[in-house]
Amino acid sequence: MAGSLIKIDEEIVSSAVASVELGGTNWDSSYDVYMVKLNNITGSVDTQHLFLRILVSSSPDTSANYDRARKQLKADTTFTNSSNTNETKTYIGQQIGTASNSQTNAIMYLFNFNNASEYNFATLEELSWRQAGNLHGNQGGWVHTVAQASNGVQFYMESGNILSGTFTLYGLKK
Amino acid sequence: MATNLQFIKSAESLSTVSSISVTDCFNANYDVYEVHINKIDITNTDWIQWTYLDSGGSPITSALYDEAVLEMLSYASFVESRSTGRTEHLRGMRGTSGISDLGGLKITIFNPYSSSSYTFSKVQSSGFVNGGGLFGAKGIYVLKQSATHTGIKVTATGANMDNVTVKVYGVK
Repeated sequence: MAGSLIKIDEEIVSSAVASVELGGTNWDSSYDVYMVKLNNITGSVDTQHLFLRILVSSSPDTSANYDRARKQLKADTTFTNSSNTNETKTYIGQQIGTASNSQTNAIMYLFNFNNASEYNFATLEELSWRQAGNLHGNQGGWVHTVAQASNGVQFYMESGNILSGTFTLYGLKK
Repeated sequence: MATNLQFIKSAESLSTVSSISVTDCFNANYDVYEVHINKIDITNTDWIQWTYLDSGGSPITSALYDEAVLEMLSYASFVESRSTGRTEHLRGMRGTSGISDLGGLKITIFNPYSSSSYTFSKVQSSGFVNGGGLFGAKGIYVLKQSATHTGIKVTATGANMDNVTVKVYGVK
């Protein structure tokens, strides 16, 4: 969709931070669909997941309303299904750490974030070079099952800090 | 308002070729790229595969390519394919030339120009296999080489191709 991707917010992490937020006070509600790009995300503690929560009125929503359903692609072993309901966050990156080249990259599309009468949905395409030295990735999505408007997303590590990476939020121009 | 999906370069061949390359399409201006192929004619039922070009423009053929691909077929069971230590990324798009041709291939590439990171990518594709039906693929890939890669070379597994256009965009 050339010509339709408009950058709204970007956070470039070059030293350890506990979390990264896209949107919040920088949220632009004039779009129906948003794209989130994660590039070269690294963490400070070995074998930890990268998590996500939505922002409601610029604060992370910690309620147990996150559902996920994905196929996990693995270059070294059998694929698996990843699904659950009523979690307090959703999984994005997979067991990354301080090993050389360990990182998460991903593209997500966000839907209905400005609609107070609908759930917030997202597609997820993610790939991680894990601490264990193999390639795993997610193909699927997640939903936050509360009818409410949201104004962004927050990322944080299961344990430790985000060490580096580029987090970018785009709007898809109508 | 300026767009952040920016066309960089394309390569096209309307005559029969064994490969097609887009040279010098990766640079320091972008970390993430999209490669689009919306049509290829090939002579057999084949995979469309790719390798990266090094800083001198030569294809990297070392056994450093890993991939995991979910093959989604309209006419048979889905297939989970995976392999490590390949000399190319094999499973991009699969199909047969004919009235249906090969439908479309989108590769999103992360960090190809970075000398300090592996090159990662993901694929969504759709093709059509004669005598079968729709052949979709979603995959993840890594070239386990921390080096500067400047371009991409696209080939078919065991066949020539024509009427092919490869377009490269940067995601700024």
